[in-house]
Amino acid sequence: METVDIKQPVLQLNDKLAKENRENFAKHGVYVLNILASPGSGKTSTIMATIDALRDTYNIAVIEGDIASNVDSERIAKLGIPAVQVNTGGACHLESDMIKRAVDQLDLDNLDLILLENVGNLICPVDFDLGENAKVMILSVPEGDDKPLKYPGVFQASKAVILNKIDTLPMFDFDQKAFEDHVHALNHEVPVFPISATNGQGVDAWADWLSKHIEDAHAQQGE
Amino acid sequence: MHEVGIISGVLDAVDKSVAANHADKVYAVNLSVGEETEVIKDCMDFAWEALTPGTVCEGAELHVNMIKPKSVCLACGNEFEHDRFHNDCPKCGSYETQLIAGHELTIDSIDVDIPDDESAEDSAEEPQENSDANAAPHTPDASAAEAYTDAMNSYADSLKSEYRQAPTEEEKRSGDHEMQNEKESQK
Ligand SMILES: Nc1nc2c(ncn2[C@@H]2O[C@H](COP(=O)(O)OP(=O)(O)OP(=O)(O)O)[C@@H](O)[C@H]2O)c(=O)[nH]1
Ligand SMILES: [Mg+2]
Ligand SMILES: [Zn+2]
Ligand SMILES: [Zn+2]
Repeated sequence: METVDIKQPVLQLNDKLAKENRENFAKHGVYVLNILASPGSGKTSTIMATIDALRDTYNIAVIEGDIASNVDSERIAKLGIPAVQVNTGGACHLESDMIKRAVDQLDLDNLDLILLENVGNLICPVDFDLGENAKVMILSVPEGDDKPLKYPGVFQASKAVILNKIDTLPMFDFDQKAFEDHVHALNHEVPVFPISATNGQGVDAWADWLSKHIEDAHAQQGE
Repeated sequence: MHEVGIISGVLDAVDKSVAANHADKVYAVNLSVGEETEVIKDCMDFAWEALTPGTVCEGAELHVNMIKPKSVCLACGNEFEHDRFHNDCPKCGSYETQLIAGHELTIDSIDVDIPDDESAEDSAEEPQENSDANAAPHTPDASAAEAYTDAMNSYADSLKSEYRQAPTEEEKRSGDHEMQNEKESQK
């Protein structure tokens, strides 16, 4: 018996295509956000609120990852925003080749921002780089303040955390201070944005953060 | 449960390495998995049991070497192991730390048999009559290759969306290209 060295990343192909995506986005000065959250936490609603806040300033497109349906992309298309649906056919996360094909359907030259709704899942999408500028995670109040203790990976991987559905705080025993402490223990300086995607509360602060990052991406492209 | 997808990627890489090295029997596949990935060892084992029958890895063992997270403190230079939940420096308390281990997801190596006659000469000559009886069942013959392809295809079909298409020629070529280099360096 002999041992043959392979020494190869398991996700080599995914990482390679992610890198190509990232270079493509940078070349066109497009900022790409990979949005991670549980089913029903308000990913699509937050995307719609973000569009509302930023559509006068930036050209935006959306890529909707879903196991099967195209309900979400239709919601976005109704707003007059380009939306590409990616059905993963049962897979629990998006992979970089799916994004590559979706992006082919978009006019990158005329875009500043792509919002990417990943499949509702706090685990699998974390391991798959798509070529995004940043991952952000959305947790909604009804899910409970202990989630950072159960899903540390997604909180560590995120550059910003959105706490959605804060209009429902009076209905739940969600401890906002405890939640932020748990988050910051995992990811010391990550900003937390409490919002209500449906009534618009807090969305401005989130949109400001995002605008700043889009501008930084533009500035880097200019260099 | 992306462990199924991960194992199918592992099988793909093993298959290529087995072919490149003219190996026949695979005894074990050795992976390193960092504890800060979202991979669960039990799910890997399950996926291994489900996907290996009919492949070169049928009957082989999966060795998953779980790697503990380790960080270096950017303030004081201290290197320390930690769990998933605490990565602040135990020496100076700084949060300015950088993960240096614990995010691996790597195929390290495979334990295989490489028949002597194969390593002596590369040509695919007719095996001698009455050749080693135990070598025969593991020789990657056409039917084993077919069974493997079928297993992979039906798995791929079950995952494939209407949207996803087969890799483009360009992707195929660049993928092959890397294998080619590896093959060359092993010669
Ligand atoms: N009260 C309240 N409800 C909200 C808020 N945001 C979203 N919802 C509701 O939560 C439900 C799910 O919202 P979506 O935006 O579809 O959530 P999603 O995460 O995109 O869902 P999937 O894509 O199906 O996983 C809808 O009924 C929304 O109206 C909020 O801030 N407050
Ligand atoms: Mg949605
Ligand atoms: Zn999964
Ligand atoms: Zn220190």
